[in-house]
Amino acid sequence: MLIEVKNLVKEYSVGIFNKSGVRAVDDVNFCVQQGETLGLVGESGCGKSTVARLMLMLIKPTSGSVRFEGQELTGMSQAKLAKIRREMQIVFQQPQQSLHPRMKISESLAEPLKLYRLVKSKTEEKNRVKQLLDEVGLSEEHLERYPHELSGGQAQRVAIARVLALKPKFIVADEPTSMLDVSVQAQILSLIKKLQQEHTIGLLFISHDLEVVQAVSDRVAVMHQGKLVEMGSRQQIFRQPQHSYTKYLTSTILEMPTSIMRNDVACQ
Amino acid sequence: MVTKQTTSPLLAIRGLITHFQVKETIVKAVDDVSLDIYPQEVLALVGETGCGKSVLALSILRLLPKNSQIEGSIRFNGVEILEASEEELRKLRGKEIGMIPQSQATSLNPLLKVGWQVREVLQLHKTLGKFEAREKVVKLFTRLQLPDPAKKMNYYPHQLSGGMRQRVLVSMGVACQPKLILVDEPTKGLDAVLRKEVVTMLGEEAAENRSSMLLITHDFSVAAVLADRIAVMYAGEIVEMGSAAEILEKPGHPYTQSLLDSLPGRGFKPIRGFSPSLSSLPAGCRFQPRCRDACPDCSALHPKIALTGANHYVRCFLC
Repeated sequence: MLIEVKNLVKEYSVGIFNKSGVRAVDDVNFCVQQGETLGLVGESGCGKSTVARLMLMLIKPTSGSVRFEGQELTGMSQAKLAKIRREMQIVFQQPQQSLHPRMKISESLAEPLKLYRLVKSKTEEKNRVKQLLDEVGLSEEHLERYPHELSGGQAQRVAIARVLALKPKFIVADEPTSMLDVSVQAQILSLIKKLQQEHTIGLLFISHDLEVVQAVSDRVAVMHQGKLVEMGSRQQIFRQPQHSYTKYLTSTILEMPTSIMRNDVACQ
Repeated sequence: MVTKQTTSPLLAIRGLITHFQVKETIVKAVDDVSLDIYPQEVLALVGETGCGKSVLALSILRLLPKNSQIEGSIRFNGVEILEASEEELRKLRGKEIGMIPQSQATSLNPLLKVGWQVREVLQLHKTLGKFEAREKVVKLFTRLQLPDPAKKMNYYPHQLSGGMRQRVLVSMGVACQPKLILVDEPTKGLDAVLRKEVVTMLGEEAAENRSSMLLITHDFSVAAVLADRIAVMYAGEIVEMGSAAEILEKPGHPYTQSLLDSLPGRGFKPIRGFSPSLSSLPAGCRFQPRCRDACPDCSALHPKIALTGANHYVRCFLC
């Protein structure tokens, strides 16, 4: 088991005088295996991203446990966490905003390598940066650019390259394509799937787009108002949803004329 | 590209060229576009980010920055928009041609109550009194299923959720029952539940007001639900146009085919490469560097748009 979440709770307090708690994440349990993709779906504001941040300990859970390769992450010291975070990384929704606006792409890509001392010399660093660029399908001309000079799809590729630089075992992709065009979305998702298979990475794929989740996930978890309401294989969730909320959610998929759809084609 | 229909078109665009002068380079955002929109028809304009879709919509309303050059002809209901005075344009905008802009988060004035913002359109064009306009806004909000409409009038945009702000924008766009509604990317960044609601809402509003609609989107599934006809745009040009069923089931242009194949339900096959910059377009056919069927001719000559079936136009040598 790569990463396991047990009874995870995150409570935020609301109000100054009449304090009351809002449970953003309420008793969530699931796990992600090596090389597996777990899709996490739900409406905006249901707590999907909070789960992601809790798993990486970017915010502290109110209670519950997160175990990464058997190690308990809650209550771990920052120094120890920093080491472990090399192996668990995140790709965010807004690619332009997740890159430093005043750093060139070459600098952004070299930063994680330097931080974790993964390269010994300048030449090695340069080579590794070029190799990463190549892996995500960008060319050397992009190295000297700033994030605002890239398109959304290109910026997202850079964000993915930065994550790959650290050779992680677990990646959270938090709505990586919701701001991108359908065609660019296909490029980015096939890239993520290809890299996942090459490096056997466990992937938590967060999205509100049911069609996308259906195409990339092995298993799917459905979240509603902070709770996991249903979890199962992709076929189970989309073919025989059990929970009333899952049924509702799958009913919102826009119907395309069936004659043009070829269903059950997994993302390759 | 004149379709044979009995009625005359509400909007007829011929050879529209919208270029921008940016320093020394010319950005060809819209390049020789001709299309018609008939009364009560929904035309979806589908294409990737940066292909010129939004500029086309802004050209119709003449809401372009000063560094733009615009040529060709846009006739709306018999009026030539490119020759209209600022005064005439002001009477068209909002009243005859409504616009629902792209981003619900940034398109409302954060300092004004939403009720005021919708009322403004009505008081300006319909010469309604303050009280009548207010009643009309409540009616609009009720029809768009905004919960507690009378109270919502006094809310500021930040107090509303994304879905509610979208409803406010739709109510502004349709307030004067315009003959034509321009809708720019209505579902971008929305979750599945909200997307379905917005699509249903737009369809109902167009039917209720008997309006025509130019629906700008990159999402074929939205176009499939709402559109009568679909025009596919690539790098400033229309590359294919036809009835929605025809385009979805028998796409002629390789770009349309690739775009459909990149849908999640159709195998997620990505199109190789990136769309070209509008300031340095490739020679010959603009899609040729990314096309899976390109032949030597394609990089030498620029194909013209041609009729391939009943009201089905394709810009490709291979069809």
